[in-house]
Amino acid sequence: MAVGDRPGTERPKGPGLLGLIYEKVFHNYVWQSIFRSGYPNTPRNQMLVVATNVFLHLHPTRIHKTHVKITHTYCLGGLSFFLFLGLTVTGVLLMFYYVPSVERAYTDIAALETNVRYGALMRNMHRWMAHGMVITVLLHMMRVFYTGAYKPPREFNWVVGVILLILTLLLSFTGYLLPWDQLALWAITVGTNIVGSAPVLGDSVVFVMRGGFEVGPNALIRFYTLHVIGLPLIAAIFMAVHFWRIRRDGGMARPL
Amino acid sequence: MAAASPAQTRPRREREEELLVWPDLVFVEFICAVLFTFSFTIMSALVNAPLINRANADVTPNPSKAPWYFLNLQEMLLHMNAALAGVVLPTIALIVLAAVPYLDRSREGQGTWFGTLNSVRITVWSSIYATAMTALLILLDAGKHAEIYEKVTGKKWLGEVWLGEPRTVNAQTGAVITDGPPDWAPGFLVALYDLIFSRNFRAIQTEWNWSINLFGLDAGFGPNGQNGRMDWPDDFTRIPLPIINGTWWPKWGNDHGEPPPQWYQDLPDWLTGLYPYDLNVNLPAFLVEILIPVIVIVGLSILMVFVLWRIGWLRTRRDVMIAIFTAFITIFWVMTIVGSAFRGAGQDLVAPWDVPRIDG
Repeated sequence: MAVGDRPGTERPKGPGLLGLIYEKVFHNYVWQSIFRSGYPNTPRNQMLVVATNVFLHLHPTRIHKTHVKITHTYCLGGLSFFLFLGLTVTGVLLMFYYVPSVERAYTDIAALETNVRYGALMRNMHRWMAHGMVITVLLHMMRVFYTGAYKPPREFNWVVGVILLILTLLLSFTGYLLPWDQLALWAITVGTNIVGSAPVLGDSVVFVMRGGFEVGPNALIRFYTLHVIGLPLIAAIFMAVHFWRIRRDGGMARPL
Repeated sequence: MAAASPAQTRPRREREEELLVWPDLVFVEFICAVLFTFSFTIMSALVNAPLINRANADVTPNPSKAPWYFLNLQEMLLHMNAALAGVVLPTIALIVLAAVPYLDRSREGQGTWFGTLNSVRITVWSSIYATAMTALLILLDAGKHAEIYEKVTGKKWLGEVWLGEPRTVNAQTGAVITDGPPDWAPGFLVALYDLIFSRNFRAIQTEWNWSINLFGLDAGFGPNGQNGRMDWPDDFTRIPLPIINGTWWPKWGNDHGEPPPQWYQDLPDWLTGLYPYDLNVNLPAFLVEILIPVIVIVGLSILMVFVLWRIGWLRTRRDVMIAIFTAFITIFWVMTIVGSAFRGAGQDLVAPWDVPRIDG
């Protein structure tokens, strides 16, 4: 037996060069310390890998065949989550170069295009993915509604979803100010003015949001903090609940 | 594995309907993720995110627009009271949205696209209805019906419609340009005669003028207060409510420089220091900005459900839900599109190619 080979692992058949490489790459001590079994090519191992892998265990091990059809869900919920992950990665990279002060914010963003290798690409991806996430979240909500997937026992998960929709909009809205250009400043001015029209509490809420009477340095640091840590944390918690409850409620909705 | 999940207890027969998540789901997800990463990378390499001039609080771009997903709210702000459009209606909409599963509790039709008998046609019908009504209301509020009438017939919108030209007077010379109703006519006749608001509802508040002779009686709650006439709109702008507010609270309502009464001065500072909210009713504004919009919104919603019910398509509560949700989503998208593509300088309704590109 090869070094590190374990019972039950299927061996490649031919002894050719490719087989040898396969052997060296996948059947060595280090690889097998990470992935305890080989490629899961039996139903039992396939279920085990889904159930025991930290990333895959969000899934059940089996799924009804209608839910695998792309036209049932269009992957919209999964894509929203995927875009959230993509936004986290590109967002962290953008944070390396961005200082949320009125003096530096605009020049830092402008410098991404000239001074930072792939800086413009990162910023573009962050922006387009953000718009994409708003769209996929809205479409996901429509999909869930028209497939009647909010019905018992999934009532509360729909509510969690509505909260996640609001959080998505807030994440996008807070990020909108950060480039500190005319587009950002006035979009946020218009947006916060809308909040300010609320009866009785409007003025106070806007004052807290902006940290003053107009969109200025205080607003920038508040929006930045909410955008990079406050709202993502809250969203992550609600996402965890959202995904957990999908499993608890018996997976995706299906006809009775 | 989830020990208590219903999947464990399903009968054997259903097991045969199931597939393994590895490979049938995780590979699909993987391909989706790769495709999306790939498309977003390509798009980001080709299309730059907008970055215009540095923020300048002294230069207001025209038009100033919120992010696109809030343009529906900004659109509503053009047509009604700001608090109603920007806060009250969205809050109600979100609460009703979150309450959907509690309003429709049946399990019927779950897990399948358009699970009830009539759901497809309800969806199609209510989306067409919502699109048409939203577009119609936006056009009406912009006075497009009068513009089209004038273009097609060559006649003026007002005047030809009713008894004759409304009375107009040259502001400088005082000379009468067109005879209106006779001077002795009571205010309500003049009001009926002058149909300026048929061009635009906001004209009720701004351009519609009439007055009733009270023959010396003091009345009216506005700048023209005690002139013996009830003038629209000025005498209707500050109708006091019988509660403590800007008019009735002694200090706040005291316009004559007299000191407030002693009992008021004895009140604690935190109470007398409260901001004097003006709770007087501005009747013209209330009519134009709150009452008419609410009647239109509620009325058209009820009409939609009523028509669907009369046709006989609404059989369950789920069907009603589908109609209302579809209308909501449709209005959301229609107003977003109107706000992005049809609102130019000064938030005027223009063709998409006339909307200034401020994002470069």
